[in-house]
Amino acid sequence: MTAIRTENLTKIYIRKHLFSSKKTTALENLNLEIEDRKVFGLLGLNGSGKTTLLKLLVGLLFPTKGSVYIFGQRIPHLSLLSRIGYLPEFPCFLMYLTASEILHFYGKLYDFSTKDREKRVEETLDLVDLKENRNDRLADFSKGMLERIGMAQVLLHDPELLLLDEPTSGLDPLGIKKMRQTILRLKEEGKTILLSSHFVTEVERVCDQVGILHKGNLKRVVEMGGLKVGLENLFTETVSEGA
Amino acid sequence: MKKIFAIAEYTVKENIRHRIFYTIFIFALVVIVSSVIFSMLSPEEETRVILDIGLGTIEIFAFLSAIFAAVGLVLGEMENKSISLIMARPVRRFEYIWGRYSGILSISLFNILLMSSGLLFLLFIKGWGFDFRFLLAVTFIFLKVIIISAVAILISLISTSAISSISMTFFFWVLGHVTDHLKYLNHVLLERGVRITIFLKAIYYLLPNFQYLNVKDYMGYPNPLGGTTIFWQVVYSLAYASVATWLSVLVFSRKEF
Repeated sequence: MTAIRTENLTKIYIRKHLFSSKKTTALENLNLEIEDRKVFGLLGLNGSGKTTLLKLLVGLLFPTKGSVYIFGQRIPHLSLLSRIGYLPEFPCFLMYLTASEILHFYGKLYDFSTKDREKRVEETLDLVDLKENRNDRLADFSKGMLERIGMAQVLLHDPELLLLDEPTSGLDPLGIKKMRQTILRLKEEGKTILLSSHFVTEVERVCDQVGILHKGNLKRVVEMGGLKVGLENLFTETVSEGA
Repeated sequence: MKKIFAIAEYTVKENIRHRIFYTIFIFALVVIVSSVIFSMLSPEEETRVILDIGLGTIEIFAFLSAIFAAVGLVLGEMENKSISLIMARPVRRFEYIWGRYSGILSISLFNILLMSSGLLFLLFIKGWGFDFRFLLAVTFIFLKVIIISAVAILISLISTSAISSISMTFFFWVLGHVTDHLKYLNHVLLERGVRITIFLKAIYYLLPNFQYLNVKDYMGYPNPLGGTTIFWQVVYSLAYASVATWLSVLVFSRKEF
């Protein structure tokens, strides 16, 4: 089954100034298909359109042209969002809330019963090793702990599709290792994961399939199993061709 | 409804943990209490002075806390991108706006009730005989807050910075108290041959008419307000706030994060 399908997906940002407007094409006629239960890595340089694509998939941006289908349903589709977990590159929270309060708040935006929500919050805090810090304010959290809360809010509602935008960016080596283990565990559980990154080695370690995005165009999609050359070489070659 | 309530609850939590909330609140109480000093200047009308200063203070500080909440929370959330973690969930755009709005109104109501209780306590100490119009005056202060909070949310959605949002909301608040003067201005301009009646009328109907809701000005005088007037004042306030909020929903529906 196809988890994500995009058809001629185009996003043009229009920045309006007083008497003029500037257009920037972030994605151009993107046709992508991702099978469910796969980990798909989106590789690209800064500004290649990775974050734009993830935001389009979750409805935070509206496409200029083209369409997106998730689990066969065309978005925007509100109920689909219950099946998606989204981690932005720099997740920002309401720092006045505690770890438990923020997860309860997000939990209330789904149709869980109070009992179910309480159970899920506790389980998720346990999963990301923040059970001891449940009553600490996020303002007092370190960067690594905030990243873990970021992951907790993704896992809270047990989504089938996870969209992770640069999940290892800003993490220390131990944090990167833990994030990798989490992704691999989720893969074993049969989740579909689309992660964006510009760290070739990380993508290489966890992904089944990789797409190389350059200047808003999907240049190449490769199966990691059948790859005969190193991904780093392929990536460098691909972005150099398009430069 | 459940999601609106959740967003409202989180708005209240966020607000009461913000330092500015306490600053505004404590400052308001200090001004109300200090009204006793001003009342010594006119011993015959001691309670009258306390009442005037007290109700004026409640109105100004309720307004300040409402605009800081509306601009600070809504615009702040869009600026720091924490909104993307809410909108990436099954939340309709109108649920977010109505949730935020309900939260801001809840905190404003709590603020007004607390400040009014303080003022009442002070008045009773000074031997004031209770006048039910006090409750009416407080209710109408809240009606003004209902309008200005809706306007503040709308402005914060269309402006690009907190400063411009606060300035514009403040501008609405001040102009909303002098709209009746526009009629006089029109009259004067017509006498001088300047015809901008349509423009002035448009501004007159566009701006909230806060003067119409200034019930606190009638405290201490024979009650000139009838039930019908009060009814239409309430209808006016709720209709104005509803239109402003639905415009906010419309603007917010087109927002990208």
